[in-house]
Amino acid sequence: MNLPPRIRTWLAERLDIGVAEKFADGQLHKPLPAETGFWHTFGSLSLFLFLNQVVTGILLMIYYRPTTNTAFESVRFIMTKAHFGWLIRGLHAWGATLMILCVLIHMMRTFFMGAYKKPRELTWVFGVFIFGCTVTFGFTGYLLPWNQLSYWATTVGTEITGAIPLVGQYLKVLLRGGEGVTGETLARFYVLHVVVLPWVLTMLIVTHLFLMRVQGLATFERVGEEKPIDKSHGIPFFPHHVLKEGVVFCALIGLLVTLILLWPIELGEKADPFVTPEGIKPEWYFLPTYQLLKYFPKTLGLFVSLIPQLLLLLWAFLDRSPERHPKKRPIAVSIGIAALLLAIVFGLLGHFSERDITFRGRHYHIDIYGVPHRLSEQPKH
Amino acid sequence: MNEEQRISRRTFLDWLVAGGLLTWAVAFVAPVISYVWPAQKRGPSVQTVSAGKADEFAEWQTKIVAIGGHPVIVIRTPQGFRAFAAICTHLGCIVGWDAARHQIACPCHAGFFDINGRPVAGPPPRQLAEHGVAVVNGEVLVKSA
Amino acid sequence: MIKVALALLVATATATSAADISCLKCHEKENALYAPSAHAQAGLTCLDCHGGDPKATDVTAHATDNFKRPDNKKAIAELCASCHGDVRRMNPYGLPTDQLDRYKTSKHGEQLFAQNDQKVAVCIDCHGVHDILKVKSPQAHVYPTNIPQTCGRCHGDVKLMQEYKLPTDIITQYKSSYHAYMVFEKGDLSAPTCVTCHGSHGATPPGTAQVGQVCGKCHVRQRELFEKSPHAEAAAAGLFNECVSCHGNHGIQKASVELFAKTCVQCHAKDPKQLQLRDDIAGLIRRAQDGCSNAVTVVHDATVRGLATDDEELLLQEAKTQVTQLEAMQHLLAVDQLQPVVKRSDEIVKLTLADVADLERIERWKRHALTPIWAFLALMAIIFWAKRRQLEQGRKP
Repeated sequence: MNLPPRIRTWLAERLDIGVAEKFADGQLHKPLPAETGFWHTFGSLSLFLFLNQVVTGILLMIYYRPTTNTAFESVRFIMTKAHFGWLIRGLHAWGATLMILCVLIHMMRTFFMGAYKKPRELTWVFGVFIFGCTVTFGFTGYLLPWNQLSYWATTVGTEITGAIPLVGQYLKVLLRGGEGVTGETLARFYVLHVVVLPWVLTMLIVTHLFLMRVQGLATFERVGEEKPIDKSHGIPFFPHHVLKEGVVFCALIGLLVTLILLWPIELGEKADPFVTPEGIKPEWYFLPTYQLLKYFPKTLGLFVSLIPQLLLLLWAFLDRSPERHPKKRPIAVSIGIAALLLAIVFGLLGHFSERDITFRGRHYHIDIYGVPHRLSEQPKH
Repeated sequence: MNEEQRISRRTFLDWLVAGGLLTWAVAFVAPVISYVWPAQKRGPSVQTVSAGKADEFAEWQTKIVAIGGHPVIVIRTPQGFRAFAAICTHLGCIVGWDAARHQIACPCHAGFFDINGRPVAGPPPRQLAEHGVAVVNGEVLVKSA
Repeated sequence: MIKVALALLVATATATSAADISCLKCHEKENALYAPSAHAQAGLTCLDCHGGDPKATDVTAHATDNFKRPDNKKAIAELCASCHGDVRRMNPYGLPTDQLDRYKTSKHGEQLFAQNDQKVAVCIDCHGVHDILKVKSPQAHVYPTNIPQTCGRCHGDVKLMQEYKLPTDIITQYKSSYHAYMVFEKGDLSAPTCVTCHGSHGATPPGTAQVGQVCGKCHVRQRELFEKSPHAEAAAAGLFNECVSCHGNHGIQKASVELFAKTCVQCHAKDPKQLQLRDDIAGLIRRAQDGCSNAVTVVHDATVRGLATDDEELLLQEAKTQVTQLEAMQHLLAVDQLQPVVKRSDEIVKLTLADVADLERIERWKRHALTPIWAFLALMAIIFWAKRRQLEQGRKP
């Protein structure tokens, strides 16, 4: 670190600057394993998107007013009156989607490369919590624009907690701040979204990063046979790896801006508790769970949908083989691919369920379970 | 490639990186500043809308101003300014001013409202919602609700 | 001594209050109905209508000269009028005193006083007997929302109405009408019930000559315009029944352009010139309506997408005002008077659509920013990549 000499002297008279410099230097130039590639950048991308959420979130808070009378109107103000408000909201809304996507890809990378194995089980567990926290962010943030879609998606989403045996009803009331989704729910979700979750996620991320830095990145070497990285062979984090991340950042920002401009986030219609719109669907990352819940009775469905989450959380402890390279772990990799495919299939079923579609000139109605039924007439729109 | 060329290429690239990052920073900060700068000097919770200068109104002169996409009729009575939502309570037509009767008149079904907004003739079932008006420094300010 | 005098005083003071009257010994049921009534509130007791001896504790109470229990409807009307026809007595309550006179002009009153028909409605049949409430009280039999039921007690009774050759489906017709919708669904008590058109005490069906007056009480503008139309003369000549001929009466529905197709042919079926006029008028109205509703959809879509449509919403209000005016103005039957309004509405709609198109153009224009942004990002990516390669080369020995 090259601080200007005067500042350096000033600081050195007051602090043991040597330790700080040594630490910062070590972290900045920390050598990464030679196989650190593009797939390894999704962690940083997630972090970058988190920072994007923080900054744009703070900017949105300047004009946003979390009451039933003003929430929708203030979002409308942001979209129509505040300069570049559409851009800030777009960055926040599309950034949220991309962040969840990046976290997911980062998790898959970790899974398929066996990076979660000893000694990094805790990093994995924290990562799973980070994922849960990110999704909760998405869920609480979705309500805030207070439009029809957000209102009803939240009504349906919070209804599910009511199915939990014994405490379900209490939990639902606690979450909603009453029997129905009201201004109380909005206030609660707002507090969770802008105060509680940001700090929780910050703590989780700090711990996750700390562990990652202390233990170093995993390689394909077998558990217990990892060799320390030789400074001459490793890739320095700065500037080498950071430059590689810079290239990926460019692509990510390009994608983000393209999404904002070509598929702008809508304002929607103001929430109306007396008018239920048709075809309420949750956000894409909830679709697999949403579809899964349909095939089981309420309480059972809840337990079934908990299984993948528990498996995810405990996976680092369940898989105890020492191999990391995917080619040497056929069972784990097959399970991973199967889970991924299942999630995609359920997600697609959830997306197309309760819709009329036209496929090869024939009209079908897809029922709640995702089974298509031939229609004799053209579907009405 | 000799040593000098290599060094010049290196510094050139460094300049590019620095310049690019700077451009990037500006491209980010500029919209943020313009976003934070009060748009039209009023936020999402609009308090008042100006209906013009008070001395531009003669006695019994009226003016229709838009507040959040809704018309509001401002009337200068001998006792001062009054303002009412200019949407007839019957079928939602925009009301106007009947100078001869000194009443707010709806052109659609001949509904009339007195200068307190109360329906006095025709089909309107309810009175017009009143907006507060204040004259501040010679400017007529109408409350948004 | 003083105590006794006081007790006596108290006793006489309360002697006439309802609770102490001996009537209650037997007539508790009647008193229960009477207690919340308007007459009880005004301080009247049984004696004021019925007379009798308030101190007698058995049937002998009825055995006085002033005891009244009229079973003749004529006598009932006169009993009520003995107070309600007295200006001095009614003045403090701000009540009119001409009810009996009005009643005598009504069909009910004519039947009763001329034919001594005891089946017709008299005061108590509509207002109640002991349980008479003020008209403003929502429980009153004569409160607007209760009127159709009150009238329907007789006018919905097939057997009773057969004698007078009167229809009994008018109550159900009314219940299906737009007027009833306004009263019962929208809670608009200024919308008409039976009495608004037929009168209450002077209840009589409005004749052909009065229809325009009756409807025009509320539909002022339509009446005014109709009077200026060529129809006014024909109606005055008794050729058709003014408003009712096109709009119907008891089962009246919200007027729409469809009405032209159904009603004009009743008189003008063989008159191509008039039918052409009808088509022209209907066409103008339809054009304005369609233009307006199309603009409403376009603006709504733009609003949902998050575009700034405040000004356009104001324009729409103006366009809607034109269309609503048009709906009343067609009573004039003058195409040349409708045209400017339609033109104005067209202009506003055009302006609105152009405004929205402008907003959309800005949205599309924003997309052009993508090219320079991508170019810049690609350049940055190349620079980063080049820098990295350069560093890699530098690292190799």
